[in-house]
Amino acid sequence: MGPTLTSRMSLPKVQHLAERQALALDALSKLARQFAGNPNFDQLVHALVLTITGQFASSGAFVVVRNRSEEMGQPLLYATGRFVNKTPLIALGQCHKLTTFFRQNIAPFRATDLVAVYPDNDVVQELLSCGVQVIAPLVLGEKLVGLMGIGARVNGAEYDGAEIEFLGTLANSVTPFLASSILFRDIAGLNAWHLEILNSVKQGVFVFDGERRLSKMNDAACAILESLGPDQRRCTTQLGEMIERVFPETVFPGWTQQIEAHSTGRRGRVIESLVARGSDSERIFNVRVGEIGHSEAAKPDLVVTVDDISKQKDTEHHLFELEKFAEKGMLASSIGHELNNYLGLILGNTEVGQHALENANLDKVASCLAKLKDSVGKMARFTAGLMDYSRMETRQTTADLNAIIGDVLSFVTVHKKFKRITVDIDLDPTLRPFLMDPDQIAQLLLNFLNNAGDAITEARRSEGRITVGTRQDGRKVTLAVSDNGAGIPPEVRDVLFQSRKTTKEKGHGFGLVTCGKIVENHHGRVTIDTEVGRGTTFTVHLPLGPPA
Amino acid sequence: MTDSNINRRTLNDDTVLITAGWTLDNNNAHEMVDAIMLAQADGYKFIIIDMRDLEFLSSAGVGAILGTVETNREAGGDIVLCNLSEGVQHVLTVLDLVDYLTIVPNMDVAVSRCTAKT
Repeated sequence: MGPTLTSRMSLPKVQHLAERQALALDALSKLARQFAGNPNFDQLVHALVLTITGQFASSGAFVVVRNRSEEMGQPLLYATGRFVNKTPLIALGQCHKLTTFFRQNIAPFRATDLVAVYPDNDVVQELLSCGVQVIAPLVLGEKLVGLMGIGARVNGAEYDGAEIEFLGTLANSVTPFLASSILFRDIAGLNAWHLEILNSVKQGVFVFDGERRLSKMNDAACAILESLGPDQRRCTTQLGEMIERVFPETVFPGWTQQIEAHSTGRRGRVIESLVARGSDSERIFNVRVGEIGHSEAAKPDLVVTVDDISKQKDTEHHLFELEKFAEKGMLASSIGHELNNYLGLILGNTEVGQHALENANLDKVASCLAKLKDSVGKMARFTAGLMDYSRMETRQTTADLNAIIGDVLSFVTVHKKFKRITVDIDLDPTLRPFLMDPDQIAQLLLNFLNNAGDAITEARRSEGRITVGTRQDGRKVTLAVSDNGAGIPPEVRDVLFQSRKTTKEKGHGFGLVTCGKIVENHHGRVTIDTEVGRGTTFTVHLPLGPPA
Repeated sequence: MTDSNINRRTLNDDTVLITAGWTLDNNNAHEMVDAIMLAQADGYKFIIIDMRDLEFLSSAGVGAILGTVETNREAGGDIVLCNLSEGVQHVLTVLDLVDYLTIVPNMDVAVSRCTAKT
């Protein structure tokens, strides 16, 4: 039954007070419900000051509260009526003397009584000048949460003892709400702060609860879902969804199973290169899975960090293509280099033949022409693909290594590079012919000799010396080429056959790459004995095949 | 009217009409404050609050009016309440505000009261 209209004058004062209190209790219960439904700090305090203003028929009311649950920062002022924008009231929450006083005296005080306690306190004087009539501390335990105040009644009547006591009751009733609301606000702030941190991360971060429902995700995660999701749903609709719906099989094949399989502990494990198929693109992700919030009571939460490495993969692929391209370029250079060697042989035989012709030594001319023909034949085979070192096939036949050395030296030594170099030959006469690719071995020797010649030139030796020797030791054969050239620094020596390393000012390192490949084709190995400034010995160790 | 919406309509250069919903309590009192303060900022001296649909007025709703009425009065205007239900009138009586606030029976009286004061 609703209240009936009754003349103000006909109501006894006591009944008025009782009805006011009933009205206040009703307002309080509504505040409590409001808080429970939506603990919004600002709304709660605004509603509180409006309630106090109406309840006490006041010209205004205010609440000064701490900014945070911890005592720090400037207090906040919430006010109505005459106290709106009365910033000096904030000082009330900052005055150590007064806050200490109110912490110890939790009953409401008339402002005039406060003047009697602190007659010279500026803040108290300011309260009076603002028109504050009564102040009630908001104390929870030993904590001063804030202060609540009211101005003069609009009808000019004084607040009596019962009303002031009732203000105290109201203050005591709302303080727990306020304290909790401040705490909620702090937690909300902390959550927002954490989310801000998460959003500053470029990886998508998904947090699933123990039931594997999506409980949180950052902006990057939203962007991933929105760009790849089957119907590109807004990411906010994904919150609360089970993991298999967040990562549907059609778009994220195998993800859910992989994630579950890798969710074993806090340290986190990385699943590399998981594929996601969008409507118009395929993307690759590294996915890190870790657990948080371990407890006996509940299954831990799952943190899934998703890093889009599609671009990185694209770059890697591009680099791989470039490398292949560079390899082809390198091969072309290598071929050019080898062709130059053959041209050197041809030039040498041409010069020798020319000299023989001038001396009418027709036998020598015939010999040179034969060697020229042989060299051109080798070149033809070479250009047919023999020197494609990545596909190089050996054409094995039984050949005499000592004879090959003799052939090569006969036209190499006439080259002008070797004119001031003494070439010593130290061949093992017992060495029998064995299975090899004679063209490749000839090229190997050519390369070593050229390098030796270059090393001697680089060292500016007045008496250059190259020694070519062979040895047979049981089932092994060695071919050694020594020079007294510049030598090779240790850091270059160790990788000489692995990549394009060279000690030559104008070299490109392709010759030794080819040599390495030739030795490999013969199941052999190369050792290098070198000393900077003294010279180098390349020794090729070749297995001797079965007796010819 | 079954909701608690607060609506505003201009009546003349000096007067604006704010219609309260069926309830004015701590859930929407701040909206009433905002509506009144906006009208004040727009230069309306008189604000008529039509309470014909208002079934429940809480302390917070009263505070919304008390906390803003002085601004109109200082500007030579007023906030005029009209069409109060018995329950609403009782609340204002209990709070001893019927003499302080300008309360009139209906819209016509409210408008003429505002015109007379202009």
